[in-house]
Order: sequence, then C-alpha cells, then structure tokens
Amino acid sequence: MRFVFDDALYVSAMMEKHPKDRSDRNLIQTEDLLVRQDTENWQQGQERVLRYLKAIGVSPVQSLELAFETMKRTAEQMAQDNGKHSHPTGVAMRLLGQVLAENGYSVIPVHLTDIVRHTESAHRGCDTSSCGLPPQLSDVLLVMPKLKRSRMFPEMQPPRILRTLLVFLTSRKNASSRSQL
Amino acid sequence: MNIEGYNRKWERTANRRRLLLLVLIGMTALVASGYMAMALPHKGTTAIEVAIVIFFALLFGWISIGFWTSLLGFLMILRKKGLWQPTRHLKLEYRDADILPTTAVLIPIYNEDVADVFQRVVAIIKSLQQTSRAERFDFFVLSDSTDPDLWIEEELAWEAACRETDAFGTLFYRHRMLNIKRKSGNIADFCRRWGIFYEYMVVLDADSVMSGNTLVRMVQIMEHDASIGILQTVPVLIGQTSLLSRLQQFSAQMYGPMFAAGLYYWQLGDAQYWGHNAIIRIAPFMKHCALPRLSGAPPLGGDILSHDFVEAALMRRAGWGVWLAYDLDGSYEMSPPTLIEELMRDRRWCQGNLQHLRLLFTRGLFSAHRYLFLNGAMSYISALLWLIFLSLSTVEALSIALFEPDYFPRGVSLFPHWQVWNPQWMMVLLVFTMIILFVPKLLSLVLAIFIRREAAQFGGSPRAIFSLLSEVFFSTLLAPLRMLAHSKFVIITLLGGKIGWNPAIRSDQGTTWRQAFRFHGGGMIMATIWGGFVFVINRYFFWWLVPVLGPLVLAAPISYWLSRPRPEAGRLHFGCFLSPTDVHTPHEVLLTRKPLPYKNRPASGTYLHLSGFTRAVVDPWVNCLHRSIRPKRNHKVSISIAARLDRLVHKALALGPRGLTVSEKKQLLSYPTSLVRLHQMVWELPDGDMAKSWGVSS
Repeated sequence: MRFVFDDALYVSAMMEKHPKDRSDRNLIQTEDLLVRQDTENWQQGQERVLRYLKAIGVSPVQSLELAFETMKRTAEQMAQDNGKHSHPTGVAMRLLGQVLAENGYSVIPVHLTDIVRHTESAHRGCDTSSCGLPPQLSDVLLVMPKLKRSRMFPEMQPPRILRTLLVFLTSRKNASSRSQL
Repeated sequence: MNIEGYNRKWERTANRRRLLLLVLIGMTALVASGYMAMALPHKGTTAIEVAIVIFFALLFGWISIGFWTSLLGFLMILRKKGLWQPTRHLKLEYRDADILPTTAVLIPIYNEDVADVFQRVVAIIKSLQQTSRAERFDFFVLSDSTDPDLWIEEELAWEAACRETDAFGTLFYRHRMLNIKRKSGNIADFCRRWGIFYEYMVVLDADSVMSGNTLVRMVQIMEHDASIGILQTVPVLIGQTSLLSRLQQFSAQMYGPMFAAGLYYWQLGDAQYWGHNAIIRIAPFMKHCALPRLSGAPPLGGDILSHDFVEAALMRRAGWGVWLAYDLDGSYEMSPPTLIEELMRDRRWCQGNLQHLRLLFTRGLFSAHRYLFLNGAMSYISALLWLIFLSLSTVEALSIALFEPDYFPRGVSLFPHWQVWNPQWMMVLLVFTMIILFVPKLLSLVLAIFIRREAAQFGGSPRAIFSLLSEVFFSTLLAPLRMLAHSKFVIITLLGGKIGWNPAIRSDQGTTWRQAFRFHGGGMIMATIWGGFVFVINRYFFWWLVPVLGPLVLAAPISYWLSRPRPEAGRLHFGCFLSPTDVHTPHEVLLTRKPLPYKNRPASGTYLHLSGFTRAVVDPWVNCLHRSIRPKRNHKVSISIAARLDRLVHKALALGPRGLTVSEKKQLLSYPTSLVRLHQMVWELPDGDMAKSWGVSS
C-alpha cells in the first residue's frame, strides 16, 4: 500500500507539464526519470521501515501507522535540509527510533519480552549484564551467573630428568612447523 | 572420616591384586616367549632372533593385560558386589528431604555441531527434571568456538534450549575469546570464575549424554564417600549408524562391562579419569589439579594435551581417590563415525599420551598412575613394536631363504647346528595367541547369554553369536590398519611433528573414495611391495603374513565400506550388531533425537537464511540477544581500540560481510556498541549491492 506516493500523484504532475516543443520534451523526460528515481527511493525507504517493524514484531496495523508517521517526518526533514540527504531510506531509519520511542515501543524486539515470565527462576544471588537493555529484560536474561573469582594455580613441577633427553631428541628449531598426515 | 586410614585399607588390597596381575602377565609373557624362541630356527641365539623374542615378549605381555583384566572382571561380575565398590552406597535409602549440594554440569564445546550439542543438553535437563532434584544442578555450556557464525548460533540455541526446558537461570552460556590451554583451560576458567559456588562438577563432552538419575546418584555417592575426588562412569557408545560405529557400539556394550569390572578390580581408588562423564569434587581439584605448562616446544612440551590422566594422578597425589563406577549405567557418548576420524582422534591422543612420558618421574605420584602413564603411551608404542616385530621376522625369513645356512657357527665341531624351523610350535603359539585375544570375547558372550540372560537385548542368542563372530572378523581386518597408523603417529611425534586439537567430526557423513585413498594410499603401496618381496623369496612365510598384509593392501576399500552411513533408518548391517541401546533405547537418548528449532527463532523472523554473523548484524532480535549476552564492560574502550572498531565498521559497510576476516568479525561481535552502530548503518543503506550483500534490500 503506497499511501504517500502513488501513481495518481505522478500522473497529475505530468499533466501539468504539457510539452510545447522538443527542448521541453527532453526536459520532461529527464524530469520524468528523476521523479521515477525519486519515487523508487521513497518506496525503498517505506519498505525498509515496514520490514524493520515486522522484524521487531510490531503488528501489521501498528506498523502501517508508525511507517506513515515516519515517512511524513522524513519528508519534512528532507524538505528542511534542502536536498542535503540524498536518500530517504537512511533518514527514515534514523527517524524510526524516535517514532517508536514516542509511541511507547522499544527497539528491543517484542519476542524477547516474554522472557519476563521466567523472572521467578532467575535467582541464587545472580546478577546480569544488560548492555543497554531495559531493566525488566536485563533482570531475566541470565546468560552467566555472578562472578566470584578464586585461584587455581599449578602445584606440580614436571621433572627434569626425562625432559633433557626427550626434548633434546625431538625438539625442532622452527616451533611453528607442522607435520602433514 | 579419616581419609588416610580409609585409603590405606583399600590400597593394601589393591597392591595385592596388582602384584597378582603382574605375576600373571609376567608368566604369560615368559611362557610365550619361550615357545617363540624354541620355534625359531636358531632357537633365539642369533642377534635377530634375540630381538624377535624380546619384542614378542613385550607384545605378548601387552595383550595378556587385556586377557587377565577381562578374566578378573568376569569373576568380579559373578561375585556381584565388591567391598570397595563406590555404588554400594546406593543401597541405602535416601529421604526426599535430603538436600543435595549444588552441582555444576559442564559441557565444554569447540566448533561443534550446534544443533546436536544443544539437543543433548536439552535431553539431559529434561531427564533431570523427571527426578526431584533438578533444582540442585546448574548447566554451563562453555564455548571455545572460534567460528563467529557458530558463536551466534550457539547463543540462539542457548536461548531456545532455555525456553524449551524453562531453564533460564539454570542453563548458562559462556563464550571464551582466547582458547588458552584448550579443554583443560576451559574447565579451569569455569573453576576460577564460579567454582566456589558449587561442591561438585560433572564434566561432559560435546557428544555425551547422561540420565538425570545417574547424575543424582553420582552426587549421592560423592556425598556419602568423602574420600572420592573423582568418580568416573563407563560411557556406553551410542548413536552412529556406520558399520564401524555399530561394530564399536556392539563391542563396547558386549565386552565393555566385563573389561570395566576388571579395570576396577586392580585399580580400585587409583582409577583413570577419561575427561568426560565423570563427577569431580571441585575444592581439591582447584587446589591440586591445575596443570602447568611443560618446558620445551610441542609435541612433547607446551600445554598438556591429554589432561585427564594427569588430573587424576594429581588428585590421587593429594590423597583423594579416583574411582571407576563400572556398574553405574545411564552414561553415554558417541563413537567416531569413520575410520579416518577415529585415527585422527588417535593421532591427537598419541601425542598427548607420549607427552605423559615426561611426567613419569614427577614427585609424589603413586606408582599406579605412573603405570597408567606408561600404559597410555604403550597403547600406541605397542603398534610400533608390532611393526618392528613383523619387520624383524621378515628379515629372518628372507635371510633363511637367501643365504646358505651355517651349520658350524662356532667353528669346527663334531656336532653341526641344525637350523630347524618348528611350524607346529608356531601353530601352538598361534592358538595360544587366539586364546588370549578371543577367550575374553567368549566369556562376555557367556555372561550376556547365560548369566545375565541379556541375549534378547542383543537380538537373541543366534544373532548375538553371529554378531560376535562378525566383530572378530572385522577387528582382525582393522588391527593392521590401526597398527600402521599408530606406528606412523608415534614416529612423527618422536620426530617432533605436532598436531593441533581440531574439532571432531561427529556426524555420519561417511568417507569418500578420495579421502580413503589419500589417507591409506601410502600404507597400501608399502604393503604391496612388502608382500611382493616375501611372496617371491619365501612363499611359505608369505602365508603367515597374509592376515596382516591383506587388510593393509585393501585399506582404502575397507575404510570406505566400514564408514558408510546406514542407508535406511532401522536397517541393520547384515542383521547384526544389535545392542541393548537399540532394543530398549533409553529415554534420555530418545530425547536427543527431538530437534531443537533454534534457527527458526523468532517464528516471524525473516532473516533465518542468513549466516550467524550476518544475522547478528541485520536481525534486530539476534542483534539484541547477542548484545545482552556480552559481558558488560565497566571501563571505557581506549581511543586506539575505538578507532580500530570505527575502521572495521566502515570496512564492513564498504565491503559487506564477505570482506571481513574471521578475526574482524569476532572483534565486531565482542564490542556491542560497534555492533549496534553497524546494525543501524546497515539498515540505513540504500538498496544496492551492499544492502543486498547484507540481506536488507527488498
């Protein structure tokens, strides 16, 4: 569903530019190509946004609303920047995070939030590492327990009797050489 | 409990038993070498014949160890329970209220098949959840994987496994960036980080399976016998379908129990630790069993490769027992699927075992463990001894055929020295050797059919007998191939050649003809030339060499054929090699066959086709999971590292995932802030080649 840029808009734009002579016709053709390219770029941006929303598990109806808002802001942003950003995809993806945050969504995929149900089993004095996760997820994503470091040092001293004989007989100067089977 | 006093009691018993074993082996070797000397033309008086007799004595003594061990094991099993048996504690009734201490179950992995590993982990957890003690066990998957794609897959599989078994908070995953000291270093790293939280740890391999009941019983045994430092179970081979694997699975389940009982008989508390399917008391392990680095360069210096024997010796040196629970079932592992994979594993073990020779005179070790080091090295050196013995015999046979006999070797005499070859004595020796090699197999058959009445578990008595005879035939075919390969490994190792510890191939993919000829071709040529010479010069001796040279000449077809996976599910090779785990597959083994769909997470994901690293960059779900799994850094990244990461991000954007090396991918995965930045920038790429290479274009 192309709710921002559609064929009707394109056709009406073309109808306004009625070619009067050959130079005008060339101009129209170039402009035609540019408009087509521009349309495709916007189309890509829109599809990219929708795909990302699907990837983080937003429902289809919500995705359309959020994508509409994002593309609207993208158009405003690009108009303000006066063509500084050449491709709407990048701008749209950057603005998507803002839109999601304002609408109460996290970039954290929805599929991870159901791990919250397992909170009760995550105990024994463990701590978690979050790396930017919301607290309710960092509490439960227990990949490793809390560290409590202790020592483990070798006691054994290998004897030197056989070492001299065996290493003398078998050592090679180039330690990196390997035998191929 | 007075550990020292307790140890002295069983040590006296063990010393008596070992003395008995030594006498039996010595007598056997003496008698056999006497026969050999009398059978030879010069009666063992020439230099070559002296050497032949010495090598024969060593080899015969070596094979008689297996014979006497099996015989003693047979008698042990008939006796049912021994005085010192660790499992005797299992007769006691335990109350449900008895609280077991917390135990860690460790699964160290290194570039393994992720699906298989985590399917097994899930199976063990589910089996444990059927007991009432599951909450006392924590599971640790300790990854040393160097492949970044596998790293991400492991994380996905961990999350899926936690979800499948509701084990968040009890199933943990740790990925180690630096593979210091390989598996022993991996375990030591766990001990240093979390060892203090646990009383015991059960060490498994990537292909190990254990039942929940067995795990609980092992902890109960350790609780009731405070003198045990390591308790080793005897894993049963399962799971593979090639003829070679089924052969090994059959022989492990038919002969294994008797042989294990025999090992227990003379080892008692000086048993071996095999590195997996064992439970270890953590506190003494951390205090006494850390491994040093040996001086000098590999193969005989550097990191200790076969760490298990050394750790057992150190545990024992510290006063703790190392016991073999030979009658504890519910412990399984997989065998190598092909002959080449088995021999590659042996190549690694050969290097590790020869390294143990350097530790023979380590201060404080018990003589039993010094013997075990020697025994381990002899497992491979004996192959070389056999090859030398055959070579000397060939030289003797050729010299008799080519040179005129000297009837007066000591000068002029009235009594000539007749060089008489006594083939009838050689036949007696052959029969004697057959008895040593094959009577244990017959005894195990008697045990299975008549004493334990387990014939049905081997497919019935006729099938069990047929399987046994087939196993004897195939073992006879394989023995020369293993002999030649092991001899080569020993020579290469002693000459300084070393091998890395590459990940084992556990899947049943079979051997191609090219691989078979490439691996065995040299031996085939050598055997053909050897046989040709002997056939031309001394045809009589040639027929004695046929059982050895024949399989060597046919090595590639034998290797190819024995390593072929089973064509159809449920079909046995020739209707034989059925084993108890085939007839009544244990529940935990059945659970391993249920696939774990970790790649299809989440169900609505659209990037399932991407490889691990690429998916971690592109897929928001995988990206978030990986970033949350990475340990949080409390310090800021230095400017130089930040600059390097920035360059990597731009390189990734410019060249795509294929333009990055393995090391670069690992660096990006190690720093979550760079990874999230790359994730954002990839999604911002306009549709084009780069977007396509990352999988984000429409």
